[in-house]
Amino acid sequence: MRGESSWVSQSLDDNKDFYSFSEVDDEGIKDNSPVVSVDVLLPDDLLERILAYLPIASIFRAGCVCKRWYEIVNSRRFLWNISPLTPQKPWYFMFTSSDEASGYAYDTVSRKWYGIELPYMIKTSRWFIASSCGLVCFMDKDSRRELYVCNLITKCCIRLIEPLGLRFCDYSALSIAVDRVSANYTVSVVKSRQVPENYFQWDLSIHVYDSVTMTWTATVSEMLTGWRGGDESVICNGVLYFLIYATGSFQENRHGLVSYDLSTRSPVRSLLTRGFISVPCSLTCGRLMNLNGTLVMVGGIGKQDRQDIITGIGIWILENTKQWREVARMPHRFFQGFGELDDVFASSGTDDLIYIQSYGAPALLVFDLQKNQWKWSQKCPVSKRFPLQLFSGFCFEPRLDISP
Amino acid sequence: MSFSKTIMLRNYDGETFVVDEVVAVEPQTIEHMIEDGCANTSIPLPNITSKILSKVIEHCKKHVETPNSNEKDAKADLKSFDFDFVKADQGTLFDLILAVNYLNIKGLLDLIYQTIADMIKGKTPEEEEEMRRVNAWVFSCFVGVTCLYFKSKKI
Repeated sequence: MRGESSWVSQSLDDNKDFYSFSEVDDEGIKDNSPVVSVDVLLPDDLLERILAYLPIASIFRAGCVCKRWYEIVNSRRFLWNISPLTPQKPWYFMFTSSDEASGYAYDTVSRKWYGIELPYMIKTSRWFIASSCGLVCFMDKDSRRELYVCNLITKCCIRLIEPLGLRFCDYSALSIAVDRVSANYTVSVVKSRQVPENYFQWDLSIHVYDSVTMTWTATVSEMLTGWRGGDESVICNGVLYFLIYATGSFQENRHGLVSYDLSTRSPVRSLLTRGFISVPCSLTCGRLMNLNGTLVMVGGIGKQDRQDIITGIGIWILENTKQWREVARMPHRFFQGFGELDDVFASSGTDDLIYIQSYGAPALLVFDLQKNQWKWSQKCPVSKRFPLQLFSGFCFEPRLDISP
Repeated sequence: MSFSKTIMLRNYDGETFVVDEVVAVEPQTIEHMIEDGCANTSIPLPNITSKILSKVIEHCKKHVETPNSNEKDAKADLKSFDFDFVKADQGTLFDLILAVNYLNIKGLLDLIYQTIADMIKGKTPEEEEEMRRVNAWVFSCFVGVTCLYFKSKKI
């Protein structure tokens, strides 16, 4: 049984920052396959290509084996072997304190938690966070003026110019979409602001950033009656989806989904009429995610009479851009295991994994959409210190080969 | 009876393999040789043994014969064939990778790279070191030059 292991590496290369990577809770998987003795000296270029097929955590381990492997893995050329089209299984970063940027990232492949440092400017967990294909976008919740796009593995980080007119709003929904091949990306912010003195009317605007032109465009500005935007959005196949919430108590549907095609060039009027999609039921903590080009929604299914109490957590897929199909519901034994669920949980996902986490406890549940399997993660190396402590997190794809 | 051109491949052991041209051009190396007109008598592959060459031909044949459709059955069948194909012992796998690299068969190369990567992942660095015994693990160089250190505690 292996115990804790850690290593630190510092690169000679000034341009590339290696991150310190400490393993925690090293339970390891017993590998029963026979140890291979390789007398054949594989040429470097073949070895390079083999190592490029490893999951991220294994690539860093491979760099510890010997000098030759270290040089291969840390060369710039190695990155060219990594196919941008092959997604890595996503990790989940859990903040373990709301006041500090400390936390751990969970890797389902190796079933380990890793201590990862967030970029220096992220000092608390009070950020809107969105991720796509190896890049993570942060927008601060306080001033909403700071926007960064980062690769958490290579620590490469840039600040985006401040979007115009984004400061005064009640709700913001942040999303990012990265093109795997070109590494160009789009960032969107859906801003909602209540019209003063009027609870039912809300100003909604959509701002889109293009990494090629490095500029923001305010593409939509509309006033909604009876609905407001929130904090939840995602970009899927070039279409922006965001959740809207009813502002009147007389409305039957408490939640709705709006779709907006980002490639639309002409000014859009009547966003709701064109792109409204009803949701299957009243949802708490509804979350949207892009799983390999499929729009997935996770949410708590409210009780008929007491909608703030949930009877279960469901997962739906949007089909044919209009219909929802429920693909899974959290089995009761897992639902119970959340304990202090309190109807408040976070979920995020990418590729074919969905992570669900309760705000009240550092418990993490993983759902594999392909295999239709639910599994608890390994126990997080952090325990709850005080009753009202909250945990939040986000998922991201660890990649070496992409930069903002 | 359909008419199909055949190509002769002569390998390391002196054996000759006769394959349909459509199968023979799966390896890009052979395709280029044919284009360059070097394939009049037979194509020499002096660095590949019969055992490995017959495996490679088997793989190329299967992939050529399976219709290139998006049908679930066809894909599943190929996947299962590939899965069994790489269940060879490691010695064969490494001979295979060198041969396939020479012949330049992209699909099969990716499959083998993935297979070997899967064998590596999940092992500790010590176990990986066992895998490539040929190289020496030079600690002292690292401490001075790269500040890399690895420590592990075994229970």
